[in-house]
Amino acid sequence: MLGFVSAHKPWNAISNLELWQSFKALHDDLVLRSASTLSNTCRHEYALSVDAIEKQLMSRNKVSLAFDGWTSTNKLAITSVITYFINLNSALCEVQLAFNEVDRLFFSCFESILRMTAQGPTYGSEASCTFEGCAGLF
Amino acid sequence: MGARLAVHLKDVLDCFELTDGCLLGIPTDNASSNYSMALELQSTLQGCGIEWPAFRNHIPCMVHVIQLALGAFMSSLGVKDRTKSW
Repeated sequence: MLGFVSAHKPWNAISNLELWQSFKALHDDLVLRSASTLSNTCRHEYALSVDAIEKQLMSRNKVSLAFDGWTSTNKLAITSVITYFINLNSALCEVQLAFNEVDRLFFSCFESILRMTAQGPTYGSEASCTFEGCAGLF
Repeated sequence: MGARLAVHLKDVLDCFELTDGCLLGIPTDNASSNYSMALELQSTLQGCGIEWPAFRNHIPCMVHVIQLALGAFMSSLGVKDRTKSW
């Protein structure tokens, strides 16, 4: 299942006969689930993870966020959001809140800005990002 | 761009119910989009009745600022960068 997620393949690729035979050739005892079962398992795992995060966040008072975006090796544009907080036991906690794919145009602009910006503006000065193709996004 | 980042962050905050005024700070790198994101998030949260001043709570990368200042200082002295050997 992790292979499907990391390769960004649709779940129904498991229905492909050649792929199915390849898996079977590698591991004869491997039990292959249907696309809907894989999808449901993934959704269930996600719901459990979100539930666990919400339980952790119940003990917080103030939180700080850190986030960044980058391009993964399979050319997907990803943003990640992490929160830091002190829990009731005065321990520093770090929880990943999001790890989302963003659209490519969004990210190509993001990369262009990083390349073009030696130093970001300070508050009170206007950002000047008028390069071609991205002006409509600002 | 910054607006879209702010929307993304607001969605995450909403998803985990972190919009009750508990957001303390957001440290980021010095990309200009992060400044516009912070300003956009400030106005979005203000619309929800939450005061979150961006100039106080957005924490840009201090190390980068120091590096730029040192670079300018060294450049004014005419000191050249050491060539990396790796």
